[in-house]
Amino acid sequence: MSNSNQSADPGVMERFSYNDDIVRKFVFASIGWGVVGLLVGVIIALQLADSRFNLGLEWTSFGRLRPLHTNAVIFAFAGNGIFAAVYYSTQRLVKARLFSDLLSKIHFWGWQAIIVSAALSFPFGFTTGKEYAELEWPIDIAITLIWVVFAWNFFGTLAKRRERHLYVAIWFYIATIIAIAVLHIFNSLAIPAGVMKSYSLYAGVEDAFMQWWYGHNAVAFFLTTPFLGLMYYFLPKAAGRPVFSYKLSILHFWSLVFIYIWAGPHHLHYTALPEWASTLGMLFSVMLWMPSWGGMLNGLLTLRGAWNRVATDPILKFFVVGITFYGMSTFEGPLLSIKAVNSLSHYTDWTIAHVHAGALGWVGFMVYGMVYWLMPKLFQTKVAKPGWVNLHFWLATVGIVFYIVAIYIAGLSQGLMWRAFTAEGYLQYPDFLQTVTNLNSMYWLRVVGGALYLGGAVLGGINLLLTWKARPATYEVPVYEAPALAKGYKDAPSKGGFMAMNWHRSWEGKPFKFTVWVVIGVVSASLFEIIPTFIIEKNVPTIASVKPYSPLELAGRDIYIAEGCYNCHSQMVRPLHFETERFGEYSKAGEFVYDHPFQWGSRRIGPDLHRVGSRPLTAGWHLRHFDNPQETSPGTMMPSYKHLLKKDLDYDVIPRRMTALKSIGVPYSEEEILGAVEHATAQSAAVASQLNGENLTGFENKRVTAMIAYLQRLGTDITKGDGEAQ
Amino acid sequence: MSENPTPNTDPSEDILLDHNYDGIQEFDNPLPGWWKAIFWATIIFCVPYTYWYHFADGNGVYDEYDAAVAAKMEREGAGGPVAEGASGLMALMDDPTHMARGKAKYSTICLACHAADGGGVVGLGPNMTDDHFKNVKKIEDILTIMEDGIPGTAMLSQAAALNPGEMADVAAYVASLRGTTPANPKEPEGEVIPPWSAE
Repeated sequence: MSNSNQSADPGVMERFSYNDDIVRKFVFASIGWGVVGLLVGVIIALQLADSRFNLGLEWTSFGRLRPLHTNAVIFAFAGNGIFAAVYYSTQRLVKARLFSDLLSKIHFWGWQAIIVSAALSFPFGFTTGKEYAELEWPIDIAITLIWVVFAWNFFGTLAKRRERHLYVAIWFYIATIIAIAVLHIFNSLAIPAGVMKSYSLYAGVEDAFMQWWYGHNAVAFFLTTPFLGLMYYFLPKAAGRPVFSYKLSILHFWSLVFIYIWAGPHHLHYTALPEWASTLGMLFSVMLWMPSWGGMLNGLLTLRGAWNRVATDPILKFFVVGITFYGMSTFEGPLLSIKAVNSLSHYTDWTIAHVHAGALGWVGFMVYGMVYWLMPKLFQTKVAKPGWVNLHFWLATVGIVFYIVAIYIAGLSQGLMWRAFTAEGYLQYPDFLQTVTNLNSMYWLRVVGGALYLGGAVLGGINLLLTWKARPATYEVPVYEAPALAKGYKDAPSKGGFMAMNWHRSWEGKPFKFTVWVVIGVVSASLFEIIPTFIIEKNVPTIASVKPYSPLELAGRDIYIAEGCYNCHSQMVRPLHFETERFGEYSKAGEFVYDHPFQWGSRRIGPDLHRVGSRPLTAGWHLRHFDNPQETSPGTMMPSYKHLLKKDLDYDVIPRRMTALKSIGVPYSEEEILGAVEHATAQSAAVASQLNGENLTGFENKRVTAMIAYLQRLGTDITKGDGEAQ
Repeated sequence: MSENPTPNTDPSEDILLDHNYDGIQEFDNPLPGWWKAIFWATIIFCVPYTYWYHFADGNGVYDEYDAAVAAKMEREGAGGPVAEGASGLMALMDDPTHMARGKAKYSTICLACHAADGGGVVGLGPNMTDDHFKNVKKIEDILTIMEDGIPGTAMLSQAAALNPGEMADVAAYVASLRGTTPANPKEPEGEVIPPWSAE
């Protein structure tokens, strides 16, 4: 016991056991979904190397599968891994069984149902179009409910605890639960426009701000804090060494909680986001460097005295390499947030390499290290294939190296090609396609790296199954004894000043107070940025000629979102000379006021499309391009969208969608909504007649007409009439 | 707990706290000095950065962009000298600077229908490397077509995408493609026309 005050009465001795069944379930789910998520990753990596791997089917195109990959890896692989870690370690750290076995089960099966619904909805084009928050509103509500169940179960367990003070791992779990709840709810606010269709409550710049407030902090509080918690339990257990510095734990925990939230706008440098927000995002990201490295130091320095075992123990190897990748990623993050660096890295593969170093290296290795450490304990037998653990480690390590080296080279090359001017002052690589096809050999190397990592994961999965098969007929359930918390306990008065940090000890005994401070850290930082973003009108100068989309253009935009075009195409020309030379006038905040959701994207595998409407491209060109992109753009990795040419447009949903948008501020009149079907039909006929003029007949009422109408409208309002910002 | 220090990393002088969570103990080590120093430096860095870029002379994103565009305007004027007529275009073909600009613009816009090397795209733009032309008889017709477009085809006016100087450079660049060997040439279309002439 950590009871430092010996004068309190000892509580009554109690007997209890731990619920390890739920941990076994989450371990299986994490490893199983991990294989699925990584497999989809390898498939979409193949699609980027050769577009034929899109299989010519609408359900398996890159734009629909990429969200499946990211969501599976984040929420299924990492998510289930987090829950396994939290449930196993919390029970032991607070000496109490989980609050409720029933809530644990609801949590488990509810979360798996959410994952299955995601896997079923993405290939069919149900998506909100916001990265890492693509799930549609009914699933978003389910996530909220299951998260509440998780929180209830977790805090209930803390309430029943027999250990007075909360260990640092628990602090990180608290931060995770609070922050993810806040982020998920406020980013996902949307107006439903059908059973599986909704529009983000926010538009344009504000939607972009909310999305990256969420996106960045999902990395912080779903892929970082819970894994630091995991590290603080499983690493000292596996190494048999005390944690390096309690003071460092305190300082890096609170600095992460208070600083992380601010950093989101670094995802929007050089966009139409106001410059002050961009600066805040950069400065707070730079400040995050040491708080993040505090975690790395506490991890690596805990191994002092155990380094001789790292060479031989594959579990420690997973942890050491994982923590090293954490240190690398959290140095690179602040680096990428510096505006000048970001102007080179943004929209390129550099970001992709960065997140994979984090996801495969840090998240993946921490999960695998934990699972291999847990296997003999959970299944009460030896690991079936001990040699495979080491093999898995090496396959995964070599896989990561192949992946990230190739993709760093690809990203850096592409960024340099985009900005290269000739001596005469013209773009050296004016053909966008060339800046992608030049990377093809790197994309093949990525496939090799991904496949190696997947191979390791499959090996781990088989090892898990074999170990499980060798389990005893019934699991032994050890019974533990500990006294209940004594009443009237008081911590010794804290000595020393603030930096001595003795005051923190009493906080650790008060989960409620502790949680309130986490809430204050997360919410106050959020409000400091959100309130000015929404209330300062000059952030988004009005452009009078910008009007809402016509009914057909709106339908086209919905197809654009459903197809996941934003996974490859941005809609944000940055105010950089090489951008405007290539794509046209830079994008203005006022142009996006009716964009629910924004579609600025985060990666350019294809060219920016914000000014595509001003390009001298006819309806016929667009149609031929959708039909067979290889014909118009030889060597492109864009798959064919033949189905848009074949399938009829569903006009009937348009009025309901316009009504939904009207309710959140898009100025459609009642007449426009009533006449929407007629108007859309007429506009589709007009596009079809343009196509007829180019000898392309039979496309009246086809989906492609809506897409063409949308693309030809994109970014053109600013040139109509009085287009200047007012 | 196994206390098994290796010879070269001796943590025996660290003070162990009386914390014990499921067997996990914690040392009372101080924060590393370099860690504190860098953390403070990153905090202090915010002050001059914010002052310089938001309250003093530091060039913001848009200032830098405007400067880059101004430099371009100084170099090229509002589109450069407009070459008129066949002789003007033929002269541009001999000027590497103009050909470089023509190529750069061609490669952002025209390649969508005529392919990156001018070989043409099935169903869209014709091959411009052979001697067959549908709508061009003389070199200056290229410029006229770019200005006006060809009704009923995918060839639109390029006037919104290019200024007159750029348009002339692109026309000259297109003329220069004649006689080159594209990767996937489209079948010849139209009549054989005589070589370009300044007459």
